[in-house]
Amino acid sequence: MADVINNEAVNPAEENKEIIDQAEVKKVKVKKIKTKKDKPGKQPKAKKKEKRFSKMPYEKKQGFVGFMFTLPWLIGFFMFFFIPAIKSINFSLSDVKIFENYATEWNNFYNYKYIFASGSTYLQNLFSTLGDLAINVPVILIFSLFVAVLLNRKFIGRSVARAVFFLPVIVTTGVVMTAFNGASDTSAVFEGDVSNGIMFSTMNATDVLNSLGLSEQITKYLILVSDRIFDVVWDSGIQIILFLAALQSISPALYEACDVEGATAWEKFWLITFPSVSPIILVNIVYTIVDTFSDPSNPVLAQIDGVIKNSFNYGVGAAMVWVYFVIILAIIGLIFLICKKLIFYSVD
Amino acid sequence: MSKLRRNKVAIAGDITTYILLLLYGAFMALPLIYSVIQAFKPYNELFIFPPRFFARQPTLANFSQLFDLTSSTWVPFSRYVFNTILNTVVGTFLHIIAAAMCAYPLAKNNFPGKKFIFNIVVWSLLFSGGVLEIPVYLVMSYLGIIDTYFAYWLPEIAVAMGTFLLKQNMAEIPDAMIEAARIDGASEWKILWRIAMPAVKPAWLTLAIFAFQRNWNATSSSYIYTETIKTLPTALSQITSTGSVARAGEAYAASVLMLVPPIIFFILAQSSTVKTMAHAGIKG
Repeated sequence: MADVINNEAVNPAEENKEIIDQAEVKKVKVKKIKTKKDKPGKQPKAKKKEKRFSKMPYEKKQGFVGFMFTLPWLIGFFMFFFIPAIKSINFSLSDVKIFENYATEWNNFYNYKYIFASGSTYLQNLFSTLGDLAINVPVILIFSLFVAVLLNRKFIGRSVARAVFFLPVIVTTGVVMTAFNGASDTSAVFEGDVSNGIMFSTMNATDVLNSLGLSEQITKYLILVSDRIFDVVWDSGIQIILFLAALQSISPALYEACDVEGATAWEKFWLITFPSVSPIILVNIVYTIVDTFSDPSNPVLAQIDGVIKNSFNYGVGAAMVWVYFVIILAIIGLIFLICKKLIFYSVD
Repeated sequence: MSKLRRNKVAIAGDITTYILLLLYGAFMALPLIYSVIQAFKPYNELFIFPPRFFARQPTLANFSQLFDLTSSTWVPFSRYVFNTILNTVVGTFLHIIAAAMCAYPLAKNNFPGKKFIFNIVVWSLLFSGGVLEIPVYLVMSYLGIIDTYFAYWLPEIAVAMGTFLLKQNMAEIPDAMIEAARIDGASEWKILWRIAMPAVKPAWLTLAIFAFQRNWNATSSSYIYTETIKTLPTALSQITSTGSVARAGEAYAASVLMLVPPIIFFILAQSSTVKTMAHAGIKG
């Protein structure tokens, strides 16, 4: 038996060699950047490495291969995230001057002092973003789970219905918005496009409600509510899809067992569906927060964009980004701590 | 008797489902339908106040004018289309492969630093890409990929959302299934593509939808100067913006045309996710 396992274990080693070789090539390419990260033991010549590799205990070998698998992403991360982020921290702490090249000069936290100074609108923007978040996250989450459960039922026209709920994702990240962000001339038209739609719905609603003889205040209130619903519905496209994917991977056998035992739909939801999708609830919370925070139209990011692109104040812009980032990090950390206890993993 | 009652409950449930979905669907779809209709309105109907929902004299003029405009571009228009399709395909593949390769060991392997890597994934989720634009430019120019296709493709590898999503889903695969494959002598590479990925097919198809979406709509940001490797959205917004209000109709037509491929891809991907779960092999 032990022999068999040993023999089997050699095969993967052979195969893995290729992968490792590939990874090695990539490693060499970015060596300049991450020399410090390379462990000295894993670099020497191919033959030696093979020997070391086949001598490794099986568990360790697996782990090593696993680590190799993460390399492409990690390298990408270092190049397009980590190094830029370090540069950005450097910017935030210095006075950035741009000539043909650029130069940075330490300026004693001036940028940070500047954004927290009493005259700055930064804090105001920050609080309004946080306020939005506190309302949006729970509402979007409940709504999207609800719709996902509905969409997961069997009915005629289901895939069309799903497409309808995915439409906002396509639109808000599509040409409409890129044009809105890019060419300033078209922006008016394109912006008009989406908000016209909204205006259109509210305008008609106002007319209809007024003609019903409702008082102006009730009308106003109803329209405020419907606008809010609109925001929520439009922001929950991706969350719905994520929940749908989770719902589809619940084994039907569980529900069948429930049916046999005579459970009601209510019990089925809370005892099967809800625990099964709980890991995705965390994903969705994080996604919603990130989405709200990284939406270019939110006041903080709009301000940062203005600071960087209009007044070319990279230092202050970078400082704003980092304060913002630390706050998001704190919030998400808190949510992770809370959710850790509530999530149910079916495999453990 | 009880069967009858059950049927009644089911029918009531169906009706409620329809009503609720119609209600929410209306919120989603109406503005969109409106902008699609806008594309079919003749120019003189576009700016009427108060706006009308339906076109009184629907016309294809906007589309034909758009095609006239596209045929007169300096770089052949098909070049933009090709660029966008190429970017979409390559970008989506790179993203999913890198995400899967990173997610699998994070979910099912043990090695030192695993938790740390996952934390990196989660942290980088929290950062909005746009704010790093300038430092990313510096890195890209250091790598010499400014103004090449790689400037579109390589950043796709580092998108954290895919890794996070796949890791969460792969954690749900029973360990027994992976162990069985290991005992049968499958390499980790094989387990990843033959067992783990099929098991989380809905998740990576969802990911593919997002990536398709993101790449299809990618504009040529500040990393691209050469006209021949610019993308379709950039070209369309250039074409339609030169005349601003006068080109409003064409702008609507362009935005409608750009919407079609992602929607088709979405419907295809969604319908196959439903099928795959039947034989994915996961049973509690």
